[in-house]
Amino acid sequence: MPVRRNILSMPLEEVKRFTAALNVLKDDGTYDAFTRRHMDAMSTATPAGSARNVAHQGPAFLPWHRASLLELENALLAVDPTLEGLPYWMWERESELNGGDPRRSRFWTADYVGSDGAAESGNRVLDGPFASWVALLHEGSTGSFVPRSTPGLVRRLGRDPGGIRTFPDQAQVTEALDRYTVYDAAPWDATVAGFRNRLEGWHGGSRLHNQVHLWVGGDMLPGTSPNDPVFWLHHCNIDRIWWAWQARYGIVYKYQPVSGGPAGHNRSDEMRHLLTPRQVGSVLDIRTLGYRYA
Amino acid sequence: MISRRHYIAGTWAVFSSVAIGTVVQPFSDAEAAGPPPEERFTYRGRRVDIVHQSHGHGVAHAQVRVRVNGRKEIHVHRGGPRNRYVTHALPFTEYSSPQQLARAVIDAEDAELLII
Repeated sequence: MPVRRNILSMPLEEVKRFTAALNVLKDDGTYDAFTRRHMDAMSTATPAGSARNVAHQGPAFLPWHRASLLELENALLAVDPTLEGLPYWMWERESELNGGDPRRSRFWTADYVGSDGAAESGNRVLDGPFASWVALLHEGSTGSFVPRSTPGLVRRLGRDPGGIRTFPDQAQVTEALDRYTVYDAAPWDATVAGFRNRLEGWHGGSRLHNQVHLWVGGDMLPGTSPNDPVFWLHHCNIDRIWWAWQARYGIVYKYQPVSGGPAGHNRSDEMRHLLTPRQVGSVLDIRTLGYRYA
Repeated sequence: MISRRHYIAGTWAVFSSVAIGTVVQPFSDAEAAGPPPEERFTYRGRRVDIVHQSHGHGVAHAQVRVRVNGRKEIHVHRGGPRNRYVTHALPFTEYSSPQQLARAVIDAEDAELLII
């Protein structure tokens, strides 16, 4: 059974095997297909003409990403069966552990995911295991994907003009877990005061999930955000927080809507733009999915 | 009280605005067949047209289209927690206006994060 652990508590040798497996998936094209599927999901409004899509701004935000994480984890384990599981990045502790400046974390070093982008080099990440990666850009007018003309991921930690300077902390996570006892509610979008919407980061201002995307900046800003592997470590932490909420308030029966919600977001609906289509209800209990968090 | 100097300056500003407005390139014939743009501006070398298309349900239900250089469109929807403007091009925040959204997407294209 995969055990998902805090990447900063893992031995460096295991971190290296994890990033090496990611590089295998990048080289054979498997990884870029994950980026494409995320962008395709982002582009599929439900219903048509809505700001909600099949994976965001609605109840299936958490199940869709849980399913996608599982698919990446399975791909990584197929490359290296000795991996214990997908690691998570416990970002809510980074400010506290680094004197109030999460940019100082060892997470942002060549041993882990590489540094912040170099301002003098177009904010490209010049070191670490993904320094040679070529990002996949989405062309909105045609719906096609085009490799960026030069290698190097783009990051602008806490300094992207299109992003945000503040970073979520433990108090935000605790507040989300303590205060939001309802998973979601009609009209099932970015306006409701439920746990999903709080964790996604719409309710009450830019928070948690959205805030981390916006703070990292660069390639974490567009719908192709899986271009930066930080995406998976971030979403694995989101999934861990959701599981903590589920363990406290209820696993399957707490999920709403059961029916009557937008297509793709009801408990028995099939989620689209995954490697393998799955029903929302099939990913609610991680014990049946065969992994756990340490 | 308006001084003579302020009056002349104001007149010059109005004249300049009209003169600048007339040098903006017109739409092609095909573009002219569509609804007229409600706002046109230039940002980072791109000509941006914001078009509001009402469906008879008031401003809150109006569809907004953002065209760049007359050929490309930026995805935009009314939505988000405050019913502002969102785009799947930059999906993790909302924008107070279509203009702000268009500028952010153009900035992202210049940063090589996406292609409009």
